[in-house]
Amino acid sequence: MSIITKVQAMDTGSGPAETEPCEKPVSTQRDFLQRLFRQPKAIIGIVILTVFILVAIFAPLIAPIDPNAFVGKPNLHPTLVNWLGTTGQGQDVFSQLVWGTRISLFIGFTVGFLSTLLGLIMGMIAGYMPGIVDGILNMFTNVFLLIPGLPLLITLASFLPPGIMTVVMVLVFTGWSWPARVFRSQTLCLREKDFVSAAVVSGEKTGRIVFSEILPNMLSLVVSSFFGSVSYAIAADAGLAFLGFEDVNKVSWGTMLFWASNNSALLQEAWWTFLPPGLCIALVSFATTMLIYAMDEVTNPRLRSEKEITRVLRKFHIFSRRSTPVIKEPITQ
Amino acid sequence: MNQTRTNHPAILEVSRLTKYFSVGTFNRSRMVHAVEKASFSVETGQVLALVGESGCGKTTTIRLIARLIPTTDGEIFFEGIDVLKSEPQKASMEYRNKVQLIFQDPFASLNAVHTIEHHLARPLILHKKAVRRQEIHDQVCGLLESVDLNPAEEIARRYPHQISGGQRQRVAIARALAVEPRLILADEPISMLDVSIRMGVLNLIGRLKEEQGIAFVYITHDLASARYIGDQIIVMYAGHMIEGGTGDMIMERAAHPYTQLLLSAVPDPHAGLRTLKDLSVRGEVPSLIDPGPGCPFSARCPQVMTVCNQVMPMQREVETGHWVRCHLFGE
Amino acid sequence: MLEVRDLRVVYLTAHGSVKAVDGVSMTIQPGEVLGLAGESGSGKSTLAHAILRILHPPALITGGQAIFAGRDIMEMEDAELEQFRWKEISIVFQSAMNALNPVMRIRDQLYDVMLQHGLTKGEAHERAVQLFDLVGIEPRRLDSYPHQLSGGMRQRVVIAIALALNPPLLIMDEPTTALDVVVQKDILQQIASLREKLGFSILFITHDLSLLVEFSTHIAIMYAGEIVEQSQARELFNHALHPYTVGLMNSFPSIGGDRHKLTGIPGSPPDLVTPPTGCRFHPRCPNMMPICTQVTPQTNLISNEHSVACHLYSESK
Repeated sequence: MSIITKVQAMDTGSGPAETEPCEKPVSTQRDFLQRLFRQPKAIIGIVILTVFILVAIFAPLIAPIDPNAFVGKPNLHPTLVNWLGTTGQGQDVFSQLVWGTRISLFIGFTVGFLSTLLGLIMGMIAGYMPGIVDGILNMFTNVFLLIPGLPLLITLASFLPPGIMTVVMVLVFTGWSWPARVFRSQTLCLREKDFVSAAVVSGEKTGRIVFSEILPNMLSLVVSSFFGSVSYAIAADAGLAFLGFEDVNKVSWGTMLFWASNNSALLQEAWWTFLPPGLCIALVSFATTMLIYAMDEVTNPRLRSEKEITRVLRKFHIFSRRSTPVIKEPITQ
Repeated sequence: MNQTRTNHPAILEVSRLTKYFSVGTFNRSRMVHAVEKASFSVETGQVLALVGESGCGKTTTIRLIARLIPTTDGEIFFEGIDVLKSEPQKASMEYRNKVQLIFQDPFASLNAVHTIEHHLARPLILHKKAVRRQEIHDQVCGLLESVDLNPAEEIARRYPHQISGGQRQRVAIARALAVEPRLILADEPISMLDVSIRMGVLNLIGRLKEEQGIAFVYITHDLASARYIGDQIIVMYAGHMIEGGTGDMIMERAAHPYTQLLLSAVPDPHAGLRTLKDLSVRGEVPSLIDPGPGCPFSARCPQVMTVCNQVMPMQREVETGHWVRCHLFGE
Repeated sequence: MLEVRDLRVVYLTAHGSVKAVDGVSMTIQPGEVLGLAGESGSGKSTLAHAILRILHPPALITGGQAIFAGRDIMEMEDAELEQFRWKEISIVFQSAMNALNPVMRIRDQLYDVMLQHGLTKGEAHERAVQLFDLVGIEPRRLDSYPHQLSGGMRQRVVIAIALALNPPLLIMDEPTTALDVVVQKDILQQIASLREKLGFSILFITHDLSLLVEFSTHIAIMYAGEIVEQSQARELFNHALHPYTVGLMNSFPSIGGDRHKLTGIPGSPPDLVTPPTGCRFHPRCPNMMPICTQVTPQTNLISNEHSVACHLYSESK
């Protein structure tokens, strides 16, 4: 909005009108969570993630076989002893899958948490502080956004010592700028709201305004961003491992894929060595995406009422949306 | 350095207050003259109504006094002290204690994620009006009752979207009252409320003025409500203050041609649809960017003279307590 | 010309179905200006949009008829409606910036309506120039984008679009609410003179009652989805009957006359999912009687064209 329209807009008096929301308001935290957990998409997402987390925690109970041990002949079909067969080197695939969950999920959630945190700090400070501070931080963020992700990942991973913390650092390094940009936009938008000005006039300090007034209004965005980063991290980690840039002696889904490729699994037709880890990566991505969709639906009331009206219209065989439908029979909701 | 004025009945005195905004992305030298040398004073326990259409600068003036935006020039004397000199960087807690602001949009001025109690508790805590939880809670309920929001306990627990527009605006007023201010700046507090609710809120403001002696600067585009509640009215046009006086003076003996135009445009059910043929209504408010030296209304004024385009008229008294800036009343 | 009988509209929301318009009946004769007054939640906008069937989901029309020149709008199919709109009844929306597409030139938006109804491009251009002349905008503005025009000019463009096909009925939904009072006066004068010239009827919707008394021939007052009082404009102003109407009148300060205290109406508009039993206004009514909480009042014709739905004036008193 140009300054003139902004100045004029401040002076306009009109009847009861709606202000533009930056993000659809979430009524209360409890209400939000209640509605969220009723969405089928959210339930699917949460169930899947919970299963994986439990598998990671209870790995020693579920898969007592040492994933690194050589337990049988290479590339054995799934049997009752080795539920998912053996790898190209004779290790138990099922065991590797279960134990690999630990590393993969750890990397995923840690990177998710750290990227979101760093993105929040950079984004909110840039969004709230006008002028030079915003200018510098924003430029910094943009530089990181512009650098191609995969080449940067590979470059960093190749000269740093291999290890989990390296992977985490590298992924956070390449992944924080996108959330930062999103949070900055949102903060910029919320900063202009009257309730922020009201807080200033009440005498609130800047820090308190940012964390107590602005941040709670961004929560659904922060959570979505977190899960998005988790998804990104798990996939990127798998990619790095597959390309051999990680410690290939540690067992994770990515390294399983590396070894499968190394041992020509496709040629050997040993689908059990690469399909399970690939499926797990895809499932976690799917679960996080479902959660993000579910949150969208809860925070955007229009999406919810859309479903309701579509159901009713379908029941009465009305498919055209060009005019307001007329239904004179009683409707049950 | 003399930063104080001798004893004054005026709680707020504004002198030559000016605000320019720069426009343009590359060439930042062009300026929007949002407020131009505004000067006025508000007596303790009185309501000053600032009337004008969109873009006239009334909201900007309020934001300058509330110290939400920095001034370009001019002085603000609060309780006799030049605040821009004594606290140049940002307003002190003491200033924030004494000067409060109510916004136009009752929903936007409340934070959707916090309860009503939280909104009222924060100013109490910040200005140390209460410390222990029970004390704070009691004061919150007391504030809600003082703005006729009952049952106070119930409302305190709710969130902004769970109460009506009129109730939200009362909460905003309660929040302003929490710090026990001496001056409340009200930016079109009723224009976004339902018609039947407006008078209730306006009467509340009147009551607060009478009972607690709080001064108000009330901004509106509606002359009728300005007359209803204002002890003094000032009319603004394109960033300038062009006429001032009591309600009766302005309504019955409006001096400035713009004020006369405004008055004739207000719907009056007692007359039919009066025409504005003799006043050139087709003109629009002029651009505020780098305006010329003369009177901003000269382009639309039916009684324009040569001097009007050249020089901004000085303030002249029409009768005691009634002043105007118009060359028709020059020497 | 337009007769609305017992129209009902609901919104299906997650909280339940909101009865936005609950049994509204009214007529507009040729040459009349019917002012529809009400506050937020009264259903006035919903009613106007329902007549043209342009409400968006989750809105649903659940009963009633709207008869225009012998045809019931509620029975029409999409194709018939698309020809019907703009040609028989057209609409001017509240905010011109909502009604105009910011990335299209004015010219194209004006042509859009006309081309849709079978005019050729040449005819459309001629008509566009004519219309701009009618509403008082220079024809060169046809090439502008909406943001290049001032608020008043934009609203005139929207009026020009509404008049493009010379419809006999114009619905105006708070056309001047977002404008300054001087521009508002100007636009209203313009509309009044156009009406004299072209002879269309108007359904004028607003929350500003004082405006309506100046501008309309008849007024209907809506509250919580129902019409509570209807009459000729002057008559309503002089002899308002329904306590809500009286309360509304008592909510407008004036610029002349003596300054007595105004009270407005206590309370807030009701919840339309579960409206109050009986008369919907009873929780806020100073004249409430026991019957008001139990029985919905019928609309009674009191005198010439003046009807009111209130137990104070019903035969069963």
